[in-house]
Amino acid sequence: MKRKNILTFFVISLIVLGIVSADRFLGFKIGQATASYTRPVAVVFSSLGSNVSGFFRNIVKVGDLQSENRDLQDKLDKALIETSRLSAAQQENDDLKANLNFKKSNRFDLIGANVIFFDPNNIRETITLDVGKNDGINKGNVVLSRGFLVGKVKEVTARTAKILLITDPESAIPAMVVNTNSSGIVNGKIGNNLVLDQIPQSEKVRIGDLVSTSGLGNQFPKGLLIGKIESIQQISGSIFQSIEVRPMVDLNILSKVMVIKE
Amino acid sequence: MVFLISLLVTLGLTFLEISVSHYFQFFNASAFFTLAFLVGLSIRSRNYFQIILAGLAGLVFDFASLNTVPIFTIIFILTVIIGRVFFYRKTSYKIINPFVLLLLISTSLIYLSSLPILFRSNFVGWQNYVVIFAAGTVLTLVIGLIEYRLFEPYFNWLDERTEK
Repeated sequence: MKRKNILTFFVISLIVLGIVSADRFLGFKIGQATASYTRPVAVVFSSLGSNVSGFFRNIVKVGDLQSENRDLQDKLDKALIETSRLSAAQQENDDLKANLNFKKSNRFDLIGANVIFFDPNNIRETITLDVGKNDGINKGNVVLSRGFLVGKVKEVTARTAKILLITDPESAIPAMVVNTNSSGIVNGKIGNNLVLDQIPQSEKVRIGDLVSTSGLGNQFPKGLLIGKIESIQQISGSIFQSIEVRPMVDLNILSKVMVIKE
Repeated sequence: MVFLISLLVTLGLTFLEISVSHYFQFFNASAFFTLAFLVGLSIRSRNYFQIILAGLAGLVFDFASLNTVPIFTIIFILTVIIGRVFFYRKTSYKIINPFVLLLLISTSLIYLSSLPILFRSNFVGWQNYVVIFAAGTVLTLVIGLIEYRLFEPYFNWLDERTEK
């Protein structure tokens, strides 16, 4: 009886493993179907997760709110002065653009999306969105959050899209330091950080400088902000500097993003 | 009935994990609590349906990741097979050691399985990898043990039902 049980156990194991192999190697998309048809459940969970995490984050932050409030008031005053200055600059800028017949290249065809899954493996940095081919999403489309670059579409199904985040170890983005125009490559680094490579030792970059896409290779539109330089190490004997960049948005708490469709 | 309840619990935990757990990280790592549930189930249930549950949970996990090989499905199924064949216990007596051992092995396998991807890409940050590996394993073990205690009455009930 016991032997029969073990035999049955192994037969079931083999059948399940067979189905799993068929999923990947023979084109039966069981995984996709499972996730696709349970998408409404996932949407509920992702919204729940966002709310629950927001609630806990707020509790943790209560202690800091008073001092933060004072800082914000100061910043608001400064911002009002800055806004006034910027509106004058904006006017001037608009005039210059008109004079130079500047093409407005930042009018993207955007679509909003919700994050429904995160990669269960903490080493990879990917997310799944609730939009897909049916919504006009294609492989290679660029994904933004609050206007900042967060990744690009790596795989797309009819109703979902998998996004390779900029912090994934596989991610490599042609980039430049905004102040100096120094060009390099922003690579994803395990642990939610970025590394800016290929910047020669002679380039004068500073902590706090902004890093944006350079547009080289035509994978990403030029000028999308990626992050801010957090640390610089000049290693003697090395041609390039070792620069760490912090992403502009916290990629661990993404819940709503925008996809550039074209 | 037993299968249906277990299916709902497994899929509930699976979707909760890939939708929510990322928000609660510890040194950039979060706990594999679905795996912990499956380990507990395989050690405490004499039935075979946990293989199907492990397969389903693994498929959803693999869908949410960018793995070219269904790593999660394979590791989940192997884990429940090893749990059922080598570690099955009829009661909760002396259950913690095999539970911790199997959870440790399967969690380590998941982290080690990402190494080929890291070697293929422009891999920077060995230190971070080690920290995430250690933090993820410790967190999974701690959450797993709490989870086992929470689900213990369910596992006892499950085994009573399947024995009848």
